[in-house]
Amino acid sequence: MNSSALASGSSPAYVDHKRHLWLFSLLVPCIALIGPLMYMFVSPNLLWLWLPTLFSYLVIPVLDAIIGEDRSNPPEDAVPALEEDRYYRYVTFALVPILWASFLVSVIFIGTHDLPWHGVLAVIIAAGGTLGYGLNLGHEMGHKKTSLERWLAKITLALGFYGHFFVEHNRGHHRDVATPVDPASSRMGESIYRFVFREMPGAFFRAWDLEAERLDRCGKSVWSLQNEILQPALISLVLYALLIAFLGLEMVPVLLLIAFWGAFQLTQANYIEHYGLLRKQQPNGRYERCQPHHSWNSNHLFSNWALFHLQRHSDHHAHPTRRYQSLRDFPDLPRLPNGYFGMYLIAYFPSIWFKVMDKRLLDAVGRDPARINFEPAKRERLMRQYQLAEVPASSDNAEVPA
Amino acid sequence: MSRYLCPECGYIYDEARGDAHMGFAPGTDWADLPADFVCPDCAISSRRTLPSWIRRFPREARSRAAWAR
Repeated sequence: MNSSALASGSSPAYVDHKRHLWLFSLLVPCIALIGPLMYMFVSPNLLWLWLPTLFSYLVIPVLDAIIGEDRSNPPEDAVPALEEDRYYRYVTFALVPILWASFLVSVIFIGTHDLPWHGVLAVIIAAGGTLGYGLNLGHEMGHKKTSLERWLAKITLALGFYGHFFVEHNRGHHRDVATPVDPASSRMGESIYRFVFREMPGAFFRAWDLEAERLDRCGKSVWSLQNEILQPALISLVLYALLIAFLGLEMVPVLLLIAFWGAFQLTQANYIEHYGLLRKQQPNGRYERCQPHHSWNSNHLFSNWALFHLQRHSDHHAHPTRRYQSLRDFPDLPRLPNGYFGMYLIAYFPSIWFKVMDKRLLDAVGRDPARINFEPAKRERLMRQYQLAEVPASSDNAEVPA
Repeated sequence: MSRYLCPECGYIYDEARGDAHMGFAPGTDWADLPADFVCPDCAISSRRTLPSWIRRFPREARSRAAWAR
């Protein structure tokens, strides 16, 4: 099948109006290049270096507020052709070299220019943002079944020394999402600064355990080259060693900070994607199937164009192998008031975050504490503060059908 | 020897073939998979909870299952 199948299907008139807008997902990650290029070729003004950061935290949230949301979905009978249309995956392939170039330019720029600390900091933040787009791309491709896409995911994640994400996300986070055991789902009352200490180590060790278990079944050592955490880590190791060899030992803290800020982009996304939401535990102890209302959704146009529809997260978790172009909105989802970039900014100020989100969370779960993932130490206080009543765990509380 | 289709994403567990990547040798019965087995591709379908895996399906079902819901 190809795009012509769209025309021969039963919905002949369907044209994907976002088809070319996905090119924003290539264009926006180029932003980190702007700073160093303007500094080198236009004027050596340090303010250029802050442009990418300004764009992410100010311009994108404003664009989201102005352009607004889009709640339209492709008709279901157009989806098979949409999934098969290779154009959409070529767009994701094209981003791989862009991210590598952007990362290398940023690092080499720092290594070859005499900058004050705040100039270095600006480029570190921008390059960390590049790694964030890399995690988003690795996320989209890592979910796919073709080995080409899986390898491109590893190569992209290797930029930020975060290759374990490939294992951790698909087999760990998706299995445990919106339950208390998931280190990558934030809890009600948990600030992002507390969450990061649970998320970063928790995700790594869950990935390592999953891979050790798989390799044990395969009869191979966990230190073998079949280890899908070690494969991208080796790419990272060679890349970082070369950069340090050519640019000097003073690049060690720079690279560490860039990698940390890249990983923190993922922490931020994880923080806002499932805040406080909980899958109900069934009588047999297992959690109910992940449904769209177990993730916060955002239909904001601009940030979705920039992130391959990552923000249509509700459909993504309910149906993880759908490609970005066919992700849907649903009625009555927990909805974020802005796109991810605006929400990151809010998350940096926990008191504002709680003020904005706790009320929305209570609305989203119908004030039912059995559907809230509480920070255990704050549970009692939050129950009192919002006057929530413990619903007796009656057995006739039938499961809501999907 | 049976085959089981993940109703969510179209992954097929074939008892005759096993799953080399996940470490299930050819001939591993469905009943002998770990109790906490979930679909290796989507992590949605587990062995014990809904949605239940499909044992009889037409040839084209694999590609359809991934998005025909």
